[in-house]
Amino acid sequence: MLSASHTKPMRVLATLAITLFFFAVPVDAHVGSPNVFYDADAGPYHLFVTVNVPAVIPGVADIQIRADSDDIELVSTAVTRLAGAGSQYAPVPDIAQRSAVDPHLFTSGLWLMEYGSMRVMINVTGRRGTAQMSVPVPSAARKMLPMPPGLGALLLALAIGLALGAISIVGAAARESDLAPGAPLTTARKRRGWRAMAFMAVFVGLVFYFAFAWWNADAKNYAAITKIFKPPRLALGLVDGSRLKIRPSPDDTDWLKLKVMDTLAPDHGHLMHLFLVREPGLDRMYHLHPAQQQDGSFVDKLPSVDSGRYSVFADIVSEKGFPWTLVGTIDLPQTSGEPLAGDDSEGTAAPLIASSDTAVDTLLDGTRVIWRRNRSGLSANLPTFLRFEVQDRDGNPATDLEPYMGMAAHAEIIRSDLQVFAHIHPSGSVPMAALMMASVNTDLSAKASRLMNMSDMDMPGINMTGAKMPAMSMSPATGAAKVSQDLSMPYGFPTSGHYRIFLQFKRRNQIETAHFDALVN
Amino acid sequence: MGTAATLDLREHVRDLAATRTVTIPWYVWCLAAATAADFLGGYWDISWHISIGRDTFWTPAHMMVYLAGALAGIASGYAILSTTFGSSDEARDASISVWGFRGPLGCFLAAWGGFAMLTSAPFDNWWHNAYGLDVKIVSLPHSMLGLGELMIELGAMLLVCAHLNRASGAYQRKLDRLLLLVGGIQVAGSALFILESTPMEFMHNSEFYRAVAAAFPVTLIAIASVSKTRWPATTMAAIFTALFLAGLWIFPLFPAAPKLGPVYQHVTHMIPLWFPVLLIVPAFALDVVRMEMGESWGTWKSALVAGIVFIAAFVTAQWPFADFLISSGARNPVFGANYFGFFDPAGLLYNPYGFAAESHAAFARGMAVALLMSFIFCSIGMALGSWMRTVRR
Repeated sequence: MLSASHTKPMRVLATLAITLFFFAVPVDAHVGSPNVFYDADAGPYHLFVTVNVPAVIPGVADIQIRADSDDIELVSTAVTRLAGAGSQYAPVPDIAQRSAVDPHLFTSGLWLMEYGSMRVMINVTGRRGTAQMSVPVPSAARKMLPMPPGLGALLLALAIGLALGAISIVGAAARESDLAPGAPLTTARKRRGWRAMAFMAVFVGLVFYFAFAWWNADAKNYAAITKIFKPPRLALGLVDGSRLKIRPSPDDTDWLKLKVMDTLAPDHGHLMHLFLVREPGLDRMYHLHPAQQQDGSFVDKLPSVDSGRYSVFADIVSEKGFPWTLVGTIDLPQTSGEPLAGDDSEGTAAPLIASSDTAVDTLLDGTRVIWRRNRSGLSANLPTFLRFEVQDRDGNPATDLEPYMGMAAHAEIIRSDLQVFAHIHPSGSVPMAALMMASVNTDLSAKASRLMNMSDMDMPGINMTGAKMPAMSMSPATGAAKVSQDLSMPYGFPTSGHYRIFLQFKRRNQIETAHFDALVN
Repeated sequence: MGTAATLDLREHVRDLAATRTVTIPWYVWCLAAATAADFLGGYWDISWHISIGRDTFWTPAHMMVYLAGALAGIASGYAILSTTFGSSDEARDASISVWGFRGPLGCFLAAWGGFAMLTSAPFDNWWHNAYGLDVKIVSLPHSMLGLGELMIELGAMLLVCAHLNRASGAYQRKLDRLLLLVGGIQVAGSALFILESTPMEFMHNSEFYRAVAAAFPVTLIAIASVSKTRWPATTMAAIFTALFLAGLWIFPLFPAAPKLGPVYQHVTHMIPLWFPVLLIVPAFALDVVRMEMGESWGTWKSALVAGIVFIAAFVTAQWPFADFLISSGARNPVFGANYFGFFDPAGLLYNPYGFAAESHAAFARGMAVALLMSFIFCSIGMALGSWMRTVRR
């Protein structure tokens, strides 16, 4: 029931007010990796979508859509909210431009007007009919652009010119404007003009003072918004020597006001995916799933953990489909815990060094994982596919892969300085929970539901109906989900640097973790 | 009887002569037209933003604003350059001097306004890139643009005043009507600038009355002090009301669809701005007070009376009218309470048909401030008006 007391009555250009409302549900996707990568089918057409999220909101998101087939005639895009108010109506779609160089590539620029959980709707028309795809996009302001020195100088010069003009005009007005036509200008009149100019100079000074104060206040407000969207800090503590307690830092007061932790959506069946990465070599990685407590905090009974300083990344998804990654560090002693169980997993590798460059990883049980990299190397800000092949100990394709938390595989991508962290899947960087919300009420969901009856894979709290998992198919005989040994994940490294990738998949009911290192130019 | 008839006839002949020999110079009309184009452009642009959203340099609303700038530039440029470099002693005698140039004060102000508008353009563009697109009307660059527009309007009014104060008879009456027209357009322009503080949800809040007290009295009182007509403030308020009603009733006739998301309202046509505030009531009251006060109009006591009367008359009219606007009876094309911009989550995330909450204490404090503001701006209006009566160049 709506009531007047809840009004946000800014009816004209009320984006700011709407923005404040949606502070209840904002997110930052991953850490230092804001762009969205999504690889999926839109009806009969296979698309790889990249959404370059603008740093300033409102701002233009650059959308790249690459089609596998050449029978697509028209691609259009539109933005809606992911769910709830604002998701019902779509604006007039933007017609994507087909690249003159690559006819499979379509590009579009869409304004993201608000913070929060958005959905980019893609309509495809081709020889095989019309189809839709929905891509969840977290929209968040990340930075404030500085004033370019040239523009600043120009504006300052113009402002000084205007100030001098205003002072001169007021002086002339006081001196002459009320004189009868042709009347002589007396000394007293001239004095009056000078006095008026002096008064106006003071007034102009005050105007400048208050204008800059206003500007600073607006800039401060905007900076506060961008600060809210920075990864929230974690407060971490070890209880009874083996229980890790995880909660948002009480110092992060602005973020706590959002009450994100109160209403989380499960992603891959878990409210939180917790990653512990040992510094500085990134040689230990634990992927855990702590349980939420009555007080809102999370607690994980740690497995056996090697001592050291760990960077902690906690992935959560708000009930409106917004992914946040909370970050922190903790010094852990050597702990002797219970064996890993359920979906919890770990990875071990040699410390990451500058010259690390790995294309093949052989695991303890003989499983070989090969990263099929392009010979041209890796480049920052270039959407690509990370393609892996899993082989058995004899070098044959592994045919016994199983879904791991509903996905063919998971990958954690970490830059050596731990300033970039991304958790991706064969479908891309989009959380499954958000994907479920995005596909509701679209033609896509119905069609995908018919094509892929995924109901057997439903996990607690997640309706998987309608989602097609890349690299996965159904066994006609048993109806069980099968996972291809060829794993492919869409991603674009956000910056250059040295990266480590932990690739996780399940084979014969055993969670495997391979690792790869690479230099991104 | 015969003598009176003869005098009337002489006056009539003098009026006719004045009409024949003196017409309003084209650049005065041109500057007045600039204010009209500017208002139309501003109204259209806001409607565009709440109906369609996405704009370009070339939207028709923007073109109207450019037209306003061009008209102001042509009018003031011609008047200043022809006076400075021309051979007309009459024009030079009726001019002021700024930086070696000569021309009417109004034209210098309008030229300044045009430069301020031009300066605001790159500043606004950077502002959008740094802090996002137009998230609010009253931003620093928009205020700079608004100041430029205000100076063009003030320049137009002063240019008309200079001619009016040197004129007599029918020519003076013609200029007086033009002054009221420009004044009415300026009042309407002020209404655009306070739009964010004057939605119907705010009409029982002190912020609404503070905004009205700040926006309207200066022009209403200043121009009323200059005009020789009987109901100047009422006329200007009527022009403002007519302009807003025309917008309310004409804009929805044109189809439009949002081109930005997310979209909260199903928009199929241009969304107009809301029903005009009942400014005509306090404007009428101000005219009555001015007539009653006679010679004492312009003193600080008269400003105090005008300030109190303005707020009291406005609250008396607007408060019950707000109750109607928020009722189901106003949700129709006539009163427009059913129009919402595409990005407005009215009815989804908040109830637009309820007054915004404000504590009694805050309301009392706010209304006291509104009263004080009304007094101050009435005083400014009187001071401005008494000076405008003397402007001859």
